[in-house]
Formats: sequence, C-alpha cells, structure tokens
Amino acid sequence: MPGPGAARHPRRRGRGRLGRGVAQWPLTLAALLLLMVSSTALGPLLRGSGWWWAMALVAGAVLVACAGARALAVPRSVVPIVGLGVLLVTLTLLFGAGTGLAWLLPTPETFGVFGSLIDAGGISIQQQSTPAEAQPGIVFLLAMGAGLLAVLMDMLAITLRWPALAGVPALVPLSVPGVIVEGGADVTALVQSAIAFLVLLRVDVRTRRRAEALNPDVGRDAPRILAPVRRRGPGPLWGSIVVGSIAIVGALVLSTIAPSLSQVTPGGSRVGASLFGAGVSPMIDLGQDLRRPEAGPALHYLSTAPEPPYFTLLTLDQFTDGNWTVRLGEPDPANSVEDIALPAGLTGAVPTTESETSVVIDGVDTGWLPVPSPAMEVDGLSGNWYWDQRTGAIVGSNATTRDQEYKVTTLEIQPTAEQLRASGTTYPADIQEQLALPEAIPALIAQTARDLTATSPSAYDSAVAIQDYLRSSAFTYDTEAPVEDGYDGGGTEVVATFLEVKRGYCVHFASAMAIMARSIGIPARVALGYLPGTRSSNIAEGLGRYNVDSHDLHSWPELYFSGVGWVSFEPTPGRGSVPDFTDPAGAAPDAAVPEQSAPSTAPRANEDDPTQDAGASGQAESTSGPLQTLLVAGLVALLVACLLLVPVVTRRVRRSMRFARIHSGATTDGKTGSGKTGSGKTGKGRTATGRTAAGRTAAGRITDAWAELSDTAADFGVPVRETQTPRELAAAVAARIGGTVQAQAALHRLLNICEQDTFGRPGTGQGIPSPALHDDLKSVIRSLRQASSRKQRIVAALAPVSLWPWVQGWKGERTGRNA
Amino acid sequence: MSATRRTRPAWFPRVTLRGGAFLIVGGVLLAYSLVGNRRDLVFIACLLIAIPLVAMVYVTVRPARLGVERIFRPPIVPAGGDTIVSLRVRNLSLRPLYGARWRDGASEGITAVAGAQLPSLDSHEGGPAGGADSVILDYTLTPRVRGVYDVGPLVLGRHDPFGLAWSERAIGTGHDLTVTPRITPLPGNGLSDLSGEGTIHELHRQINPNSDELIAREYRPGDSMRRVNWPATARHGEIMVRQEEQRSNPDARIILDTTLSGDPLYSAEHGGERAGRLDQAFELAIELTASVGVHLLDSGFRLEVVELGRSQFAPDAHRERGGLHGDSPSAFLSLGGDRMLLEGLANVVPVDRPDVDDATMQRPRTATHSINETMPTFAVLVDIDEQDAVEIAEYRPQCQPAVAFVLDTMSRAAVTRLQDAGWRCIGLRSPKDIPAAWDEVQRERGGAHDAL
Repeated sequence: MPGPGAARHPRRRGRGRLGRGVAQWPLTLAALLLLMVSSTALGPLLRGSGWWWAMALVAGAVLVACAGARALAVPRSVVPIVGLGVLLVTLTLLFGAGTGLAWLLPTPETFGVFGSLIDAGGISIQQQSTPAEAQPGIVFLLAMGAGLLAVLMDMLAITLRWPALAGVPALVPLSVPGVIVEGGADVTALVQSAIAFLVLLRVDVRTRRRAEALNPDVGRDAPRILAPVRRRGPGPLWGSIVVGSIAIVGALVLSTIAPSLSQVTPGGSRVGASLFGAGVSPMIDLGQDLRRPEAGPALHYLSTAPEPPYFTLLTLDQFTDGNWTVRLGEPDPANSVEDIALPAGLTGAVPTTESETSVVIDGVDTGWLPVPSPAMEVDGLSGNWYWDQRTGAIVGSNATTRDQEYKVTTLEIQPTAEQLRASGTTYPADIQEQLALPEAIPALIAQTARDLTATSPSAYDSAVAIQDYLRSSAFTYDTEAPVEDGYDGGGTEVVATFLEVKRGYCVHFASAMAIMARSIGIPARVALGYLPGTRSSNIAEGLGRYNVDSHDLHSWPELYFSGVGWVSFEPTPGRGSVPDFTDPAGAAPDAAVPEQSAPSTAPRANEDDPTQDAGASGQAESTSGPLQTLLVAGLVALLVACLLLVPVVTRRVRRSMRFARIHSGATTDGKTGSGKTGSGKTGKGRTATGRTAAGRTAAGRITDAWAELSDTAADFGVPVRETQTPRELAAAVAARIGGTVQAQAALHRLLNICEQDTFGRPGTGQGIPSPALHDDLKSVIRSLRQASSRKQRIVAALAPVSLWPWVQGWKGERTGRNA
Repeated sequence: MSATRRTRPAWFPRVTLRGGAFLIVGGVLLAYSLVGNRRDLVFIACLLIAIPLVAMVYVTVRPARLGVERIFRPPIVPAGGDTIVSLRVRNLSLRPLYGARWRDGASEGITAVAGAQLPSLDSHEGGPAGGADSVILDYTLTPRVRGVYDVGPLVLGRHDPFGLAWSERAIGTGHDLTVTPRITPLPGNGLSDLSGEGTIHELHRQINPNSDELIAREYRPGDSMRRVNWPATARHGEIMVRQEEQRSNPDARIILDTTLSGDPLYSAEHGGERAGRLDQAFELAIELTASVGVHLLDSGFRLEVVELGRSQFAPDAHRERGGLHGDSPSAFLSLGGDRMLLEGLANVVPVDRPDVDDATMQRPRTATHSINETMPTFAVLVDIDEQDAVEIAEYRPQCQPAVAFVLDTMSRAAVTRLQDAGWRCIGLRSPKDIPAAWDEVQRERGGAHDAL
C-alpha cells in the first residue's frame, strides 16, 4: 500500500523506485549475461579461455558494484563513477602485480604497470596473427574494455532506462572479429548474444510493469483495479520464446540468403575467398571454384592489347608426390614489381609488343597477383609485392589482392610458327629441371604422347599435335565427372585416368599436355589464372571493359622453346583461345592480326562438336548470376502470391461449400417435389409432407444462407457485429445496396426466412425451396458487390474480413448521442 | 451506416518507440553490412528488423477474448456529479492474458480514464466470475456537461513480451451514460399557491354527471372510510371508493424555447463546440427548466412540456412542428416523472424552427385538448423572434398564471411584447439567479393571486 506521501507524489515515487534505492538486480544480471555472452564472440581470435574469465570477472565486479551502489541509494549520477572506481580497483588487484596499496588501491607505480601492459598488448596485437596467444597485455586490454563496456551498459540500461541501447556496447565485442578475421563473429555467439539481448529486453519490460503495478496512480480519477490475489506466474514465457525464436531463426535465414545479395552489390563480393586455400592442391581448389554454382566477379580490366589477355596467377612447375606444386624462392626485396626482368629464354628475334592493362580487383582475395603474363612492370599496388625469379609470378608479402587497383605493362610474345619450329632441343640447366617427371608415371601417358608425336618433325609440331588431340572431339569438357569418378586434380595418376575417360576440365587438359610434353622432352609447366573474361555489354560500366568472374578460372600448359621462352598452349576444348602460333597452317605471317581468333568466339567455334555442351554450359554459367537472381525473385514472388491467394481461396471455398449445401437441399426438393419450377408457393405446399430430416437440412440451409450473407456483408465493409439481430443486419445491408428493388425484395425474403427459422417454431422454415433461397442470396450478394466501391470490392476479394472475425470486432463506429 | 473507412483500422499493430528505433537502426545496419560486406552485421541487422515485425504479427494474430460487463453507479448522473464506472473483465480465452493495458473509450465531450495496466489474467476457468480469470476495474467519471454519452467500449492494448509493438482492440460495445442537467433546489414547496388552480380545474371537469361512475374503484386496504363512494358501492355490491388522485395532480406547463429563433445566424447544425453566448444561455434554460420542472413534479404537479421546436422528448414523425402549432406536449407524472424529464432534458439540443409552410403542417394535429386548457405556465425563453413572441403572447389566455423566464439573450422587443400581453417576465443571467427568480415567482404569484 502506498503511504500518504506516495499519494501526494505518485510520480516522483514511481521514478524513485526505478532510480534510487533499488538495486535492479534482474536488469544487472541480464546486462552481465549479455556482456559475457557477447564477449565469447572474441573466441576465434584468441587461444585459451583465460581472457574470457578475466573479462567476465571484471565486468561482473563492475555491474555488481553499480547495483550495490544503487541499493545504497547513491545518487544516479554517481553510480557510473562508482563503477569506474571498482573497475580500477579490480584491475589493480588482477594486473597490478602487487603494486597497489593493500593490493587494491592503485598507486602511481600501478599506473606505470598498466601503461606497460597497454603497450605490450598493443604490440602483441599488431604482431600476432589469429588466433593469438592471450598474453597479459591483451588480457589487460580486454578486461579493461569489458569493464568500460559494463559501466556504459549499466548507465544505459539501468540509470537511463534505455535497455535497448545496452545492446550497443555488446555490439563492440561482436563486431571486432569481423574486422580481423574473415566471416566475422561466430554464428553461435551471435545467436547467443541475441538471446541474451532479448532476455534483457524482457526483464526490462517485466521490471517496468511490476514497478507500475506496485505504484498505481492514486489520483481521484485514477482507476481502481480489484484483481484477485493470484500467484505469480512466469509471465508470457511461451510468447517470449515464440517471438524471440521466430525472429532469430528468420534473421538467420535472411543473413544466409544475404551473401547472394552481396554479390549483386557492387564491391561486395568475396567469392574468391576460398581461392587457393592453405594445404590443398591449388588445382583442386580451382576445380571447386569452377563448380561453384554462381559466379562472382573476380576482376575487371581495360587493356590496350589487341586481344584480351589471359591472367596468370601462379605457375606449377614441379612434382611433389605425383602432383603439380608451386615452388617459390625466398622473397627477394630486390625483385621490385616496378622493374621485372625479361622472361627467360626470350631472344630479340621474336617479335614482341608492349601493352598496358588496368586491372581492378573485385573479388579475388589471394596472395598471387593476376597479371597478363609476362609482366614487365606493375604500378599502383599497395603492400609489398615482388616477382618470383623462376616463374615470373607476382607474389605478395603480407599483402593480398583485395581491393587492389593496378596497371600492368605486359610484353606480348608473338613468335611465328617457323621460329618455334626452328628452336632446338638444348635447354639451360634450370629449364632442364622442368623435364623431370615422377618415376612411377603411368605408361599410358608416355605411350599416348609417343603415338601422337611419332611423325612430328619438331618439338613444336609435337606440341601442336598434342594440343589438337586434346581439343579433338574425343574429349569432353566436364567439371563434374572427375569429382564423381574420383580422379580430380592434376597428378600423374589422374591424368592417366583422364586420358582413358576423356572427360575433365582445364586442369586435366593442361596437366595432361604438360606431362605428355615433358615425357617427350619438351620442358613444360602448368599455369593457373583467369581467362580473358567477357566484354562488358553494360554501357554504364564502359564498353571497353572486360569482366572476369570466378568461372573464368583456368589453367593451361606452358611449353619452353629455345630462343622463344615459355609459350602458352590451350588444350582445353571450348575454353579460351588457341594461340595463333599454334596453328601451323600459316597463321604465322598473320600472327598479329587480332581478328583471327577473337577469344570470346573461341568457345562458340566448338558448337558443332560433341563438346558443344561444354560451350553451352559455359555460356549458361556466365549468365547464371542474373538468371538465378531472376529465378529466385520469381519464386519468391510466386510464393508471396500464393500466400496472398490463401484467403481468397479459403473464402471462395467456404462460399461454394455453403452454396453447395443450399443446393443439395434443392436437389432433394427436386426429387420429392413434383415441379421444379418451384416458386415459394409450391414449396409451402410441400410443408405438409413434414419430413423431419428435410426440416433439419432446411434449417441448415437457411443458417448457411444467412451466414453467407452476413460474411459477404462483412467482407464489403458493412458493419457486422456478433450481437446483431438478423433484422439489424438486414437494415445495414439494405442501406448499403440502396435502391435496387429486386435485391431489396430478395433481402426481405431472406430476412423473413431467417427470422422464421431462428425465432419461429422449429420446422417452420423447412418448406422454403432451395432454388429461391439460392437465387435470392445470389441476387443480394450481387447487388452488394455492385453497391460497393472499387476499393471495397478489392478488399472483399483479397482480404475478406469474415475470415478474421476478431479483426472485425467493434469497428469503431461511434454513434454519438443516440438516445 | 456510413461506409467511411479509416486509413488505418484500430487493430492495426503499431511499433513502440523502441520497435521503431529497432527498425530504423536495423535498416541502416543492413544497408551498411550489405555494402560493406559484413556478414556478422547482416545477422544483427536482420534480427533488429525481424523482431519488431514478428512482435507486430504476435500482437495481431493472438486476439484476447474478453468478456466485459459495464455498470454505471448511478446509471444517471447530474452534470458535475460523479458516477463510478465499473468494468468486470473476464478472460474467455484458454490462454492467460499478460502485458495488456486498458483504457475506456468515450464519445466526445467526456473524458474517460487514461490508460492503465490490466493485471495478468489466468485462462478462462468457467464457473462463476470472480476467479483469477477476472478483474474489476473501477473508475470515477465526472461529466461536466449534460448529454447522453457513449462510454466505452473497453480498449485493450496488447504489447509483445519485448515492448516493441502494440495493438489496440475494442472489446464489447459502449453503453450510454445519461448526464442530466444540474438541478438547483428551489425554495418553497410551490404547492400551496398553485394547487388551487389545479383543483378548480379538476372540479370543473368532474361536473360531468357520470364522473362518479368513472372514477370509482374497488376498496383497497388502507383506503380511508371517508372516501367510500356510497352510491357506487350500492350499485356494485362491493365497497367502492372515490378515486381522488386526480385532485392531487394539478397541471402545470413549461414552454421551452428550443429554436433560438431570435438569432437568425444561429444554426442548430453547427454542432461541435457549444461555447457561444447563446449556447451558454441555452444550457441555463435547460438547467432552469430542469430545476422548475423537478420542483413542480416534487410538489405533485403533472407537468406538460411544450417545445417550440420539434419534440425531442418523444421524437415522433407526427410531432415535428412545435408545441405551439398543434403537437401534443410531453407529459410527466409526478411519480417518476422527474427522472423522465431529466433524461429527456439531457438530450435536448437547439433545433431549427419547423417551417410553418412545410408539408408537415398539413398533417392532422395530434394535440389533445390540454394545449388549450388553462393552467399555470412557465415559459423559459432564450431568444425568440417576433413570430414566436406573437404566438406566445396570443397563448396568454391559456396560461394562468403566466410566468416567462427571460434570459438576458432575449431581445428587448420580444420581452416588451410578452409583458404587454400580460406575461410576467423574470429576467435571469446565470445559474446563480435561479433561486432568486423562483422567489420572485412566488412573491409575484402571491400578489397576482390577490389581484385575481
């Protein structure tokens, strides 16, 4: 019972309860829970769990101290200061290394310790990679942060009574992982934090209600509530769980859908994220990227080259355990990307042209720089990049391609077939290494190579023969088959299987050609990179621009010819473009003519081949992005439309069932009665037969008819109440349908029947002929529709109110002075 | 049956400040996270958007089913008096009801209770009310102005468990609360002076030779022996008594100006605020009528009220042309008549004067002879025009005595005309003048009686 003082100042007392003198333990505990749960999101960044306990301890001490201060009626404004003080004491106790007075009160020395801890923490954060060792400095920083967040949270949630804003401090630990590691905070941690946040909100709502219930308004006009004494229940626990879980699950589903949105969003892609991950063969990674259903943008570029160039990421030139692998020398700071040496083996006799390519990275995120090979100079890179002495690949040192924009100067080698044919078979020592093959190489490979090149006069002709063989119709481009049949990758065993099955994708073709070339004595290696991509048809992007997406990932063999150097071949059918010089028929003089083989047309050139499905699939893949978006959008639209149609259909079904019931009465009548011309009089004549069953169905018919009328009226916005008598409803309907005499008469007949049925002696309504009932009802419904506005008709059709009777309720039509 | 639609129905869920903030912050965060490609933020943004939406659905799709009984104590309240509105709310649903607030709707001009919490109600228990599933909500309503008000329905606002959304729903229907005009107790009992008129009048009527027959009734226990009608007893063979009640029911008449015809600019249809001078005067007239009428009824008079406009006490198609043009007046008996009079007065509003040339004038008059009978008449006049003044002046012969309470809004000319016709005009200005005016009536009545 509120005392007299409270009666005089009900409001002040109410506020006082929330502010001073009450600890607000439930809110404090909920805030602590939220902070502790959200700080688990830092888990992926740090090893061990000691840091979490330190954070929890400090945050708990601060929050409990604030609540205690509140319980001791400390003024509101002082509570945060108390919290900060306790934070300092706790930190001194935990990290002060005994420098504090009585271990608790900080001394100048303690601050010195803190300063050094902060420095150490900062340094170790900079130096360590994730997951980091939780060194004392880092733990100190975390604990201090948790304490500050706790003070802030306490101030927001309890002192200022904005518990919803207390989620903002909790967001800090949740969003830190997103800055540092790929993918951001763990989904589990996010969901748990969401639950903790909802608990906080619920506790707040409950606290407020209880405070209001304990301090009712006691003015003269205030309501007096005489509630029975009741046990304290858990409140709407089930409702909280339902609302919270639906929201969380919905948010989870939405956030998993969201990445497909982000691909559409410019600059929001991370499709290249898994490109050449650690520990797995790059070739298998490449296959996985190719098989990914939706392509994401990788990069786009503008080039001065006559033909859009291939982009080389890295070169695989040695075998480890029967697989192609990368071999990199130590990063050499001297190998600046601004001045790259000429490719190995190139002599002045080979015609070259320089071209410039401006590249903007969209989605590729890797340590290898995609450049048209061989690059002479790269400008505009951020981070440390150097070029590899042996392969010419450009590698980042603690730098990735993410968001890079750079300009590459490329030396395009345009050897003629004669030059290639004339090259000898003596190779320098380091190139000799590229002839090495694993000892246990399946015989099939070497055998095939020998068979193909038996008649070739030169190494060049052999290479062309192998390329032609692989591009022949015997082989099918297929990214799925190797995985399904278990021969994915580029190893020697895999290539042997591939040569038998004759199904595979670029990795297999490139690897097969490279191994076969080595087996017949031509130095060979496999390059990984991107096809030139597709020319943009989007005017906004610029017509000269080429877009490369993740489905343009490719690999191809490079063969070494003395005096020319490394030369690219294209053995994969339906992909990329065949280098001009590999067409011995006489392309040589025209090598520089770009029109000879525009790369974008190359896949289509194969359309007559049995491999055309590869081309087609390639095409489909390139368009699948927008198509899929369209498809998803269409499906969603369809689903929404279906959902919207549910009420319509339900209402229609209900109406037709009622009409069917009315009508079934009619057929019964038709059988028993003589004339089906049935006007009211013949029907009444039949009353005399007095069948009780018929009477019952008749009553049912009338109820149905009246219910249908009532529902239709409600649908069209005629105010219908549960408590209305039939006559009142009829009056309302009559007012709506207005002057149509026929409909008014029909309505009147219906009303009479209904009243007879409802209020009359049982069985009085049984003689009503169904056709008349049916026709009258139809006529009234029709005129109701005609009398309604277009909007009312639409509402009646799409969202019939009669399906949601509770919505209808009291429609807010005040009659005012209606005495 | 207006088919007007509100832009947003009452049940439509609304977000609270918190819910709205969630939606906005969620939207901004979603845009940022999609552009900045922060997947963890996408979840948070989606959550912030999803919770209020789910909460809105929650408050919409789970209707509370409540039974509401509404009682006014007392059911009829004078203006300025208190009535206790008592609501017995019972949960009819099988689910308990939590987190609801209630307020009571009311028509314009009356302030019902502001919002308050509804205690949690258990699920429906069946059996008699009063269990944990029901609650009684009382509040005091103090209407200031007379009228008939629609109080209710109970509006139940439901919040979701997290305080993000709410929706209101009306439960049940409103009930009419009649707020009667204020009554000023008048001095004297009014009977002594005025009863004479009535008695004389009754005696005249009983000159009819067969009246003995008509007014005799059988003896009932408690009847005085002096009242035994011996001739009738002889005729009927059982003891008959004279029915003398009519003698104690003298008539009086009040003429109420409801047309305010003196001010041509005043329109009855302007509705809304009734704060003008004329409106205040009209309220005073109503109050005066109520005071005088109740006083007369308490004194045992049978009261007839003649309205200048169409009858509002007993609205009827045949009583459209005003009491002076042949409509029968509304009669109130001494017993229980005061309540009917007050309820009737609660409703009276200024109306336009019936058009004399109207077709309604062609209809047969419903007035009985009483309009032409002579009886004490009190005219309560707010503002009448020349024509009404003439009519009332002509009516003077049927009024004995004829007292006109003229409010200060009356035109000088009309008052003069009435005075010339023999009406005693007593002016008054505010409710405080009512007792004094009545004193004057009694004083002058005395003098007038002497003069007769």
